[in-house]
Amino acid sequence: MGLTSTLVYYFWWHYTIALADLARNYAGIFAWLLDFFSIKHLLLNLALPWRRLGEGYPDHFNWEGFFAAVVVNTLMRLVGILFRLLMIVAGLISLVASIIIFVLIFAIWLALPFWLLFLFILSWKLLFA
Amino acid sequence: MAITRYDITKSKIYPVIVLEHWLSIKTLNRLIGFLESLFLAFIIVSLVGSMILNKLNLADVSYWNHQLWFKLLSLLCFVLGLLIIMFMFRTYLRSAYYFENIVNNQYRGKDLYTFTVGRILYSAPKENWLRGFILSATGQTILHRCGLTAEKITDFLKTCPAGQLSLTLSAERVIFLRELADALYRENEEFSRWLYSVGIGETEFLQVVDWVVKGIENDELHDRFWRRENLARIGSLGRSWSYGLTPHLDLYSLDLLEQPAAQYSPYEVSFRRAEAAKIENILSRASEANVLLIGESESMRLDTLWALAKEIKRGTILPQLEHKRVLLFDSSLFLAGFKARADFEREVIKILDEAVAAGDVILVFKDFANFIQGAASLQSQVFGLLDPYLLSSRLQVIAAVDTDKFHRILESRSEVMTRFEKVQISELTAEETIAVILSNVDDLEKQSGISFSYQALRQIVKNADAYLTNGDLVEKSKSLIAEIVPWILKQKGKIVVGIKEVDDYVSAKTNIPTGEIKETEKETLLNLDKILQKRVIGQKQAVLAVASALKRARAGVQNQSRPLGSFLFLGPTGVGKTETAKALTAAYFGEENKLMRLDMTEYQDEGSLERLIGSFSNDKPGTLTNLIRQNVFGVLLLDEFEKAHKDVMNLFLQVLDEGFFSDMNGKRVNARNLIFIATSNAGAAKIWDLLKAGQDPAEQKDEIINLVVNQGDYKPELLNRFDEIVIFRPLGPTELKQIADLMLKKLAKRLEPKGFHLVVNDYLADRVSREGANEMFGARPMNRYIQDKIEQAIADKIIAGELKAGMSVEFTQPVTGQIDQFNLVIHQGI
Repeated sequence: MGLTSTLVYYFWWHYTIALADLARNYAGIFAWLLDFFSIKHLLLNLALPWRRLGEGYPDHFNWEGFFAAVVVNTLMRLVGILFRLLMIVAGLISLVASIIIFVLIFAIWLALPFWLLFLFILSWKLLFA
Repeated sequence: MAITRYDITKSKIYPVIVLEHWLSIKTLNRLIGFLESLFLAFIIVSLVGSMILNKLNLADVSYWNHQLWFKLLSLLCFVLGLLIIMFMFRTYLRSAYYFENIVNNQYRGKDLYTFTVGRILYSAPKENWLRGFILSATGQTILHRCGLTAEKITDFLKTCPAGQLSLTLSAERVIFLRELADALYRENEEFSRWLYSVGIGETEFLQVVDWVVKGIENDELHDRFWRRENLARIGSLGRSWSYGLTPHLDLYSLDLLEQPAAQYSPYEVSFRRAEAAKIENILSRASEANVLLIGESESMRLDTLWALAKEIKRGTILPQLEHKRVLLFDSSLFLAGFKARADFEREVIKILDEAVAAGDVILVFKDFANFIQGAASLQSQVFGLLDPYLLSSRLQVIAAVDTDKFHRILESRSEVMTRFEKVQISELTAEETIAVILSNVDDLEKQSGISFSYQALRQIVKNADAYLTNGDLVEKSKSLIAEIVPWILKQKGKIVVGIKEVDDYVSAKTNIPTGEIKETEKETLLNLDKILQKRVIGQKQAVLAVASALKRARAGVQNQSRPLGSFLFLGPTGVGKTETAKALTAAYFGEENKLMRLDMTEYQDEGSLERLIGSFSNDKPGTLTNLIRQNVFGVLLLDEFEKAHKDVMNLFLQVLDEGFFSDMNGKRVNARNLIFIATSNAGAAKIWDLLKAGQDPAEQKDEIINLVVNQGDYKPELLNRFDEIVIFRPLGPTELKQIADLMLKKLAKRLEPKGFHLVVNDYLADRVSREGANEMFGARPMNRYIQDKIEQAIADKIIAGELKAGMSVEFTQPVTGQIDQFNLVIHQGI
């Protein structure tokens, strides 16, 4: 098997299997980012009290106890919502950043053989400039 | 049709194989490293050069400065271009290599062979596929794992056969390395014979191939940090915010998911997964999701819990158990803090409420039986407190307990049994243990720099099973490996552990001779019958039988699943039965105290069996159980065996046949490294009769055996279990005199350190044998006679001050009239 056919096979791989692999690997990273920032889980439990902390309602009804419980429980839910939203936003930023990085890597990979050609031509030109 | 060189070229990964052959990943890595350094050096030189030229302020400096920049930039572009090429090739190769080893090869089903197979076939000289396999990097690793050194491989290659291979390449299936190796093994007799000479058969060879391939795969996959399995190990953020805190419970418990042991390797061999899956199913129920986890050893129970924790961490668990924490509750620690029932119960309710409120707790009682018992000692019926929680859907509980305590404490309690579902953990077989060890040893090897041959690991499991008593087989094998590593590291220059090293270590640890027979041991074994005959007088046949059995055992030709040896010594009292057992112990085991002795007259009644193997009802361990667990290797003498109760006899039916028995808790007691010697007077009268009739009792063995069977002393099936039934002859006057002589010499030896010398003369030996022995008890009363007549006389003289240190004492024929007395003569000097 000669150099030419090896190169042909290489380029076939570069623009087919390697691209598919790149996309598959990115899909894995994307799924992991969703999992790492627990986006689905946080959305489903968005309104739960922070760490399930809260005040129990009095066994025998009294206004004071009732309002105290309502205030504390509402506060805990708000704290929970705030932290969860922050995490969700951080996760979404990471996802967007990862998409941008993936697009860049994808583009670099597509252009890599051309970059190579460009570098060698540039090198030749500079040598005799 | 067999594979030809032309066939290989038809594969899709053939170009990669060619490229890799000329430019391996290793070479590429080196080149990339070099080019990177070169690239960096150019940048530095360009900057420094430019600065110098600017400072010199020479004429035409601007021109030279520009020229230098152009040239350097040209070189930089060139080097960068080369770097990109290398990078592209490396990615290409690694990608193909990667596809080769993992199961999800995207070429699979379309291609002809895997990458490793392709490399072997491509590099094979003159279509000698076997040579290609042996010379390949993977082949070399496999052969090293088979315990073959580089020298041995080189020697074999000198006479390497043609290397036949009848595999055909077809588009329907991919040829894996395993298939190639198997075909090479089956079709090349010299190769298989060579491997067999180091103890590697076909099954073992394929197991080694799987082991090596798995190792390569794991390394490759670990390097790919971006794979989802690897990323998943990092965990996730914010999940715990949805669940409550458990400050009180945390004081007494350990979160298994946070422990290093729960750090899973995405590609490790699943271990205790079947049990973990059962637990998973039970815990996923809507209510009464409680498991009673029963396992003999704590490590077995913990291994199962680790398997569950890993599944949760990996995210491959049922949805009901996602994000759960497995909290191992230390009931002993908890119980230690309470003296009053009320405090205890209040705290129990508090931690249970906490666990329920948290919503993500799987509560594991480390020792549930101990918790119930401890609570009972505080007068608390704790199960009543637990019951509502166990019944509800709000909490999942795993109650771990050992087999013994389960049977004794929990099994009979219906309230416990209805709330929990049992998951019984069984011990892994030796083959399963080997698979676990093979998948675990890589990390240890990388840390220590030591490598184990496959045979060494098999030997470790075998020795752990045979000679170590505590724990389950996996735990014992792992401990043995962990102990061998530092031991080997101390021996400078040793980096490969083979069977010999394993045997040496086990011998040093247990004092049990394993592996190759050493020079001194060889000497003892070869002359064992002579050594024994020096001490056991007049019982040549008995001595020969015992010595031969021990030689067979040590050479490894005896049945491995039976005791080392089992003998029934039949004969009258005082003829040397016990003495033979003692002599054997001293000669082979080095010291007489390795002889364990059970007087079977003490085990004649109904409760004898319980006393031997332990009592379930009162939790008392058995004499035999303790004896064997403490001395796994030695001689067990069963005196007056015929007097034992029939249940005891039945126990020994199993012990002598299979080499083990179960104690009162169902725990296996291994007796395969023991020699059993049962002595018996049954048939003694017949032996005397035969002797009086001028016949040799040993020659009439069948007649004596028939008699003891007919008399009901022994069942024929029990007699058949013994390796040898040895008839001991009554001793004649000459033999009795020899025994007397031996005993007197022993006394002389005892006196020597005190400075007294006893002259053992012919008259003394003769008289002791005549007056000390009798027909009924043989040589047994001789010891008493020596005590009364000889030792006493010497003692009297010492007390009277007539016999002093540095003097000799001699017993001679008395003068007339004092015929029953000895004439005691004291000499000055020794």
